[in-house]
Amino acid sequence: MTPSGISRIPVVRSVLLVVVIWCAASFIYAPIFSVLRFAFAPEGDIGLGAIGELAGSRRVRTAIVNTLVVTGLSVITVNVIGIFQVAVLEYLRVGGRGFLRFAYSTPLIFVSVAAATGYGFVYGQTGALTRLLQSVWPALPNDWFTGTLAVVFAHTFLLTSFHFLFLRAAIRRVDYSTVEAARGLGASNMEAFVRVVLPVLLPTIFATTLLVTYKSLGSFAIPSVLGGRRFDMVTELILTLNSLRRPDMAAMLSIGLGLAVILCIAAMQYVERRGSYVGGSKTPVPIERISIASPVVNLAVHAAAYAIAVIQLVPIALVVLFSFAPARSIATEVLPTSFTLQNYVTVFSQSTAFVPLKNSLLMGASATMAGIMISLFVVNLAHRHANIGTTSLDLSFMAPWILPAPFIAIGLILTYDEPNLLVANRVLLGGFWILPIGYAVVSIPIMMRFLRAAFFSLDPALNEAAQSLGAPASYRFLRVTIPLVLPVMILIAAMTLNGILSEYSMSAFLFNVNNKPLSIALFEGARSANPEQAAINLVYISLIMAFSLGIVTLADRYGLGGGK
Amino acid sequence: MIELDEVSVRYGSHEAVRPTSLRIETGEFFTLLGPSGCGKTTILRAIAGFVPVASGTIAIDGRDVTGIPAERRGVGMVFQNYALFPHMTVAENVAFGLKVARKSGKDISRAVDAVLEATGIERHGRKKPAELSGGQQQRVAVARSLVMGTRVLLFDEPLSNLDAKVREDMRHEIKRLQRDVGFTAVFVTHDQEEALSMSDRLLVINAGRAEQSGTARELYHSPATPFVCQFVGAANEIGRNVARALGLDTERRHFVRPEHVTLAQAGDPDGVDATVADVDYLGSMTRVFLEALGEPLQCQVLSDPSVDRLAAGMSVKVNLSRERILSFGGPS
Ligand SMILES: Nc1ncnc2c1ncn2[C@@H]1O[C@H](COP(=O)(O)OP(=O)(O)O)[C@@H](O)[C@H]1O
Ligand SMILES: [Mg+2]
Repeated sequence: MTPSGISRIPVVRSVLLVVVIWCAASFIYAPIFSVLRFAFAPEGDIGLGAIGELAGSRRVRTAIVNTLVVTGLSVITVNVIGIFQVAVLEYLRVGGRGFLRFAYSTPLIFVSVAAATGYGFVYGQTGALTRLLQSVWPALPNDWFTGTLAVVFAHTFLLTSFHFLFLRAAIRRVDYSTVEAARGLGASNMEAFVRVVLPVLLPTIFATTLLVTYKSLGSFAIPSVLGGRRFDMVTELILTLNSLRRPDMAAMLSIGLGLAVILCIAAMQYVERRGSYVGGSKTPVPIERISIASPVVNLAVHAAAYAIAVIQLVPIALVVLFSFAPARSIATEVLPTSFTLQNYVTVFSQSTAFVPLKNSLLMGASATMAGIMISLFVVNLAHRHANIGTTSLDLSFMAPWILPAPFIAIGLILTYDEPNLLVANRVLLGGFWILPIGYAVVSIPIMMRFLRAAFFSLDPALNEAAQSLGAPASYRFLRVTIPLVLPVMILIAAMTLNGILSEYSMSAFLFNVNNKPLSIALFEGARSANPEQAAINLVYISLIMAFSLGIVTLADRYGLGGGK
Repeated sequence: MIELDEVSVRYGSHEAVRPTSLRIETGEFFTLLGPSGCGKTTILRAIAGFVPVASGTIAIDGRDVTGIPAERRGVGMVFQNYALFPHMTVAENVAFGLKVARKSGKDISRAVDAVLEATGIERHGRKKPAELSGGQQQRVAVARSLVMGTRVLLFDEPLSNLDAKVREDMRHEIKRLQRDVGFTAVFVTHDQEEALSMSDRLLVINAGRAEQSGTARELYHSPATPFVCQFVGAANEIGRNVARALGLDTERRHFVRPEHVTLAQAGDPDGVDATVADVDYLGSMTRVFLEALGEPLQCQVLSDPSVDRLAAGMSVKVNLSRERILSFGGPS
């Protein structure tokens, strides 16, 4: 670096600081303020009229009941399946563990609108599995897979990723010598599990339960695609109210959702802070899987383990297989009989099919770049100069973590549907940039969490060593800090881009003809009766999964289990 | 030469180092010895410039460096885990400071080659730190500072997370490097054996306070305080009954080292009556735990057949050589 480069650093830093503060003011504080203003004072006078109107609407009450019922049921079913899966993978001796682990890991790559569309494709009116089930049970109606049943079923098999990541990690930390000690004191395997292993896992189970609650309360893509036209959850209703030009009710309902979510997160933090039991043992013995003595139980466990694997794998397998099948075979065959690359060629050559992919990549890449730069700047600043100013900046960008996407989306809409001074008196709504801005806002908290962890795990002695060798601060940042956090940064960027490719909540609120993203194209494709459209959808889903698979594999190799 | 004049360091309201003066000669191997948490690292970091002093001045080779930032002190630091840059090769690590100083490429590679050779790691220049053994990593850490022309190296417990055998080898390694290159070493450890075996001179610190400085022999044979007496080598504090029996002033505290307690003949009139409580066989030496006039007393003697016969419960007589007793406090 040249001497003039060094002297310019403070100037560059001040300019960046101003830009970052402007971002926080425009895209976090202003939207939050708009939501509060529209919810409590739509006409200028403060009042709670919106609450009364919401309570008076039967559709709203039904949506709230639906959301609560779905969440209550999902928490139970996801825990049953998730805990069983972890027991099968880590505690019991079950054959074909590698295969099961692969099957159980698929919720990591089969997410959001892509998964919902995939389930719709196989269980829907003309879906291959619906036809298969009808051949066994002819009385089954074509549209059996809708409403609460469909949504809870999809949640059950798609939200087990938290168990796969966190509960498995927790059971691996259990010191097996404590199990052996319990056995030595006369406990059976089952008693040892219940009395020694389970209590250690309880805080983690509680935390994953809260994560499932949080995900289910804010579930959007799954009920939109699978719920059917007469079934609404709260998120969908916020969107509907917004399009019915009732911003006050939409804002108030999103506040309600936000409060429920914040409650979940607060409880989760409390559990995290209370801490998990870290064994006092200096040399923990890795847990050993135990054989099931009773042949009947053993058979039942194997049957259940493989049934779950099949339920999780079959939709994915069918989506991928049919993506290579001629469009006409969709809805007519249970398994494709001939294969072609035509659908892939269509997606990459026909502009209407390619545009959503291009839009999502472009918006995702811009949001990711902006997000990484802001996160890097804020985290580094707060790491090096911890004071009230930097901490509040840090917390400002973390705020969207506790706010559901519909809340932020409504806020952005209400702030930028008319000329706003913050953005030089322009109207952002209806333009290209509002959606990538929304993507960046919701992605930054996760990026910051990982980046902060990377910064804190850096050995401070490295920085001091560089300092005592004569390196000034800017040189240390560029030559020591950045190279060391670079792998994490690249991985975080890829994970963010991956998330944005199938992001549905922000997209549903903020998209328009100029920037229709992949997730909306998927949603629309799922509703179309045209097999060509369905085929294109399958290609989209397969591409998203392939990308996710790559990222998850890399993340796993570098020891970054998905974020919370 | 490093001079600390009444230097104190505070963390908030906690005075981690009380006003301390200290003089370290050029080319000397100087050790800061004390129990964990006594302020050794803090003194080292004050010399390096990583923590500001609350009062006093620090001078290096006559230059007052008290207000000078770490990057311009010209003092090298060898961290506990060596702090090698993991993303750079050994040669790049060593070249780091020269690059910061914007030396020409040719000068850099010449200087790096020379110092790699001087420290005996010329064959590892292209490796990453993770591929080296602990000893080699330590040499890189030293080389990285030496290449800058640094002649003062600070070591913060560089041996503390190594196992016993490697640790001993590394002691010799550091001493050899220091002798060959001739730099001034300021070494921090809480291990008295390590300190005694390596240092030209040392400073014993207790709870942020400098207790005594001197050569290993001075500290061992003429400790200035009860703390130094007990921390440097082992020492028995003589109980009241034994002190009275020996005619010592009971207003003062008296210590005796275990090797200066000898087992006497049964009829020795100067001997003190004692009972054997336990015997630790250490090979060439045997440590005998005694109870003399109801007070614990340790003695360490060469193993021989007469000592081998000792067993718990036996009555013996012990002799404490008068001129070896170390007395502190009160009127003398
Ligand atoms: N950064 C710090 N902030 C506050 N107190 C500290 C800090 N570093 C050390 N201390 C305190 O100062 C005292 C001396 O610490 P240190 O110099 O690290 O001791 P040593 O190296 O001898 O083990 C200890 O009581 C320690 O708790
Ligand atoms: Mg220390």
